[in-house]
Amino acid sequence: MKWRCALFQRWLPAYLDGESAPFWQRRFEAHLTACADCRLETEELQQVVERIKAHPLPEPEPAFWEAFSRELHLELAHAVPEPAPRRPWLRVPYYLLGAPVLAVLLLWFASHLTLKPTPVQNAAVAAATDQLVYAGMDDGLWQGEEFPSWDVNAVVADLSEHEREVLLKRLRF
Amino acid sequence: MTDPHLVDRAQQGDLPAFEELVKKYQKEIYGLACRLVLDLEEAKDLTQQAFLQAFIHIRDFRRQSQFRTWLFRIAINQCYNYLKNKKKYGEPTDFQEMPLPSEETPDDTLVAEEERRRLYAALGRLPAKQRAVITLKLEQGLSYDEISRVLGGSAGAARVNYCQALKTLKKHLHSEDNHEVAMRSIPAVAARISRR
Repeated sequence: MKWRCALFQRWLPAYLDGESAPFWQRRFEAHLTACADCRLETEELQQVVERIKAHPLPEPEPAFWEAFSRELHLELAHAVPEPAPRRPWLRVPYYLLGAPVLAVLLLWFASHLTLKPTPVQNAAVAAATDQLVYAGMDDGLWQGEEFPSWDVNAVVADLSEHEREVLLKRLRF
Repeated sequence: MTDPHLVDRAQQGDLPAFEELVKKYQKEIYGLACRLVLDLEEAKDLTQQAFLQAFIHIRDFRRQSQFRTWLFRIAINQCYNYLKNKKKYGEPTDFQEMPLPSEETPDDTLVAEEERRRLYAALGRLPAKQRAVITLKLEQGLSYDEISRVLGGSAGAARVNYCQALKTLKKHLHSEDNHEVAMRSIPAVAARISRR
């Protein structure tokens, strides 16, 4: 069987029902005029369908349905419908619940992946600050209990030109 | 009264409303059961069981499909269970259990009856699922989409199943017809032999 015939026969029921799109219906008809095997197969299946439709099941007598209804009524009268199943408060598909979980995980990873100063960097920053604030402390610039102030002008006011130059040179490091 | 309205009332426990639904669909469900189990008495019992189950579980029906499709699904499950038990506990399925109208009929009707018998015999040799798909498509007029909701799977799978079922039925019908021709030819052959 050619691949075209296999494809056609796969869609044969839709062609027989007339359910396929007009374009495909025309393609099938064109194939049928060219292919004798598919034409024979189509005719035979059509005959089978017509044969089934021509021989429906015999219709039961009205007395049959009366007895049927009577018996069923007795059974239904004793039956009690089950209560409706309790519906969950959140009718969200399970796969959608994964989205918030994924978002939380991503945020957690993102927060951990951002560059944090390492302990070595922290020590360097602290050392530089100490060096800046307490510059000149070991050199005897500060007397007694005097504590260095953030007001630079007040601190350097008492210094001579030479001392200021020394201090500024140290501050540049 | 429309189906949704009747279903609403039945869900509130209104038995007459449900019985109206039963009257509306009893022939279709019975026809389907007959085709599947090939036994009129069992088909009647299974139809009643299907309606009883539908009434008990009517509040589970969430209108995701038509009520008719839901009923077909219940009936088919009942029939499958019956066939499974029957297969398990012996008593193989026999299409001869399907009684045919036995009225006094003229010759042409007898020929039609013979053809009907051959058709039923060929249908009886099909697997239950293929019988179901043929019945739902040709006798109940369901679309492939509706068939897929009743039998499970996709609409494409239902179409392929239907095609396969028709091809298998065609093969069985050929063998039934050939068997019939062979049976008819036997007296002729016998007569020829006796003349010699």
